[in-house]
Amino acid sequence: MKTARRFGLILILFVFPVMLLAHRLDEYLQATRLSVGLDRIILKTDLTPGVDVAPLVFSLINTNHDGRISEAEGRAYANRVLEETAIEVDGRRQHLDLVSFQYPSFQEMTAGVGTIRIEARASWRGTPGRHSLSYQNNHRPDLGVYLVNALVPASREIEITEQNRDPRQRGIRLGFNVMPFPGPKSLITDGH
Amino acid sequence: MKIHQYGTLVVLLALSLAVNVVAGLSPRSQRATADAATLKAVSAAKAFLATLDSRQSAKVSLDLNKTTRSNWSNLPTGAVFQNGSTQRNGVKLGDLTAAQQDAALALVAATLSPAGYQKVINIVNADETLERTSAPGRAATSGTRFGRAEYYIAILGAPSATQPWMIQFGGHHLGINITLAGAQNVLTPSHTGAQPSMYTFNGQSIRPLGKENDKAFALINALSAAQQKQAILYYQVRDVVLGPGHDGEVIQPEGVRASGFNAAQRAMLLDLVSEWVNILNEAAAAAKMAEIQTNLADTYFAWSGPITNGSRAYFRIQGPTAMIEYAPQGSGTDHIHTFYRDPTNDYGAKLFKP
Repeated sequence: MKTARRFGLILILFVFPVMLLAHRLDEYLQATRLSVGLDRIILKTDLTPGVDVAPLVFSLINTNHDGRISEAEGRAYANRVLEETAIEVDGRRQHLDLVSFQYPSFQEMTAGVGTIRIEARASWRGTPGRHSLSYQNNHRPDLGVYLVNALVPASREIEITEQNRDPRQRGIRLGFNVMPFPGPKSLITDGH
Repeated sequence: MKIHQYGTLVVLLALSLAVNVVAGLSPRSQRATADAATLKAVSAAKAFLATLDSRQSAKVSLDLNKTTRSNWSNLPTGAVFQNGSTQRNGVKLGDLTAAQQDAALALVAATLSPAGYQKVINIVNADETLERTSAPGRAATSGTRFGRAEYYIAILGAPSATQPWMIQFGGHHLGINITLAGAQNVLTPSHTGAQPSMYTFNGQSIRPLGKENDKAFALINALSAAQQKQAILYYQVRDVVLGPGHDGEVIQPEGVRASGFNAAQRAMLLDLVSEWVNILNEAAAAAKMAEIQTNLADTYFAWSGPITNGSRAYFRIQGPTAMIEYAPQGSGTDHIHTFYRDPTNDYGAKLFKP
């Protein structure tokens, strides 16, 4: 009785209109975090298709249409996303190596709560001085809504000084400084 | 140089003292009430555990480690969470008797402020509303479940007045993670959300996160045009950045820095922040608010969206020891997610290493 009173588990006197679960519907959310280290750039992208576009996205991945995402299909789609992602440091294109990927089930995707997670890495050598990094996500701009953020660098020798995005957050340009190295050890201590 | 350093220290100590006095607590009494808060939680935890049978107790009482503590989500039962788990820690209210539920909720209430507990209950009741309206149209094969029966409670580690332990209470749109380490009580990371964002209950209109929304709109509208220009991001932000599964990540701050705020604007910002901080019991919340106030000059307020209350708008408050995100989901304002983190002390990271 006390519990019932606490929650007021009584009739809700109002009749609510039938509502859709206000999860994402016709958008394909693509959220990226960029981590700049002294010897690498880590990219982590979470892709969450809305309810209405989930079947389309699933069919892009599940190319043999057996209803399951195989290792090969998962890897192929992750690589396709990376091919459509451009990262440049100081004007030079960086090659992204796929580190890991993870897929939800079709049921989760069609419920609007399934997120594809892709991690990739570009190798570079951070020399002291000013640098710029540009990132551009060209994956499914017809469906995509985007987030992109730079993480605070784990290395104290890197300081992000500038961030400029486009209005849809498909791209970001970072300005950052690499401080003079205190020693070679710092080269292998960075990363997430 | 040394004189300068000492001078800075004196100013910081004086500021800290002043903040505590403003909060109505001297450091000694604050410590005493913090101790009392932990003892109250220990007592309530033991009382709850005493109501459980051995099977339930084994579900509720878990080790405190990195894996267990990070098992929380905004998602409902039936989804795979951001950490890969398919189930929350602990036992759900729906599997407890009425007396056990009372004891479980008494434990939650013992660690929170009265207003914080009411906010939690309002969120749970919103989800109960969602369950009642969505269940009839749900596919028979769907494992998704909402509602008060689907809120889980867990105790990580052994309840103790001196050793670290945690209480987790969560379900769809709720992730209360309280770390207790001696007199210290920590609420971060935590999640509050609401869907619907407004409902009628017992003839009353309830907005679980209404104050967060209204205070934020009041603040953005209290800024000067120049401050708004800095605060309002020129790009759209369609969701939170650091939700569940993003432990340990800190993003570059953006927006307007509070160092340029006048006294009224600073007070409004602190009042907005208190909607999250003050969920926790008064002693712990007062200490946290004092810390945030100390760091206020290095705190940023960022906004994305229109500034007319009722519009869909995202905002973020980011300082050295607190990060808050508020993000309506989809295109409307009826479904809200918020996350409260401390980049330096999530899960009591400053207090102990699990």
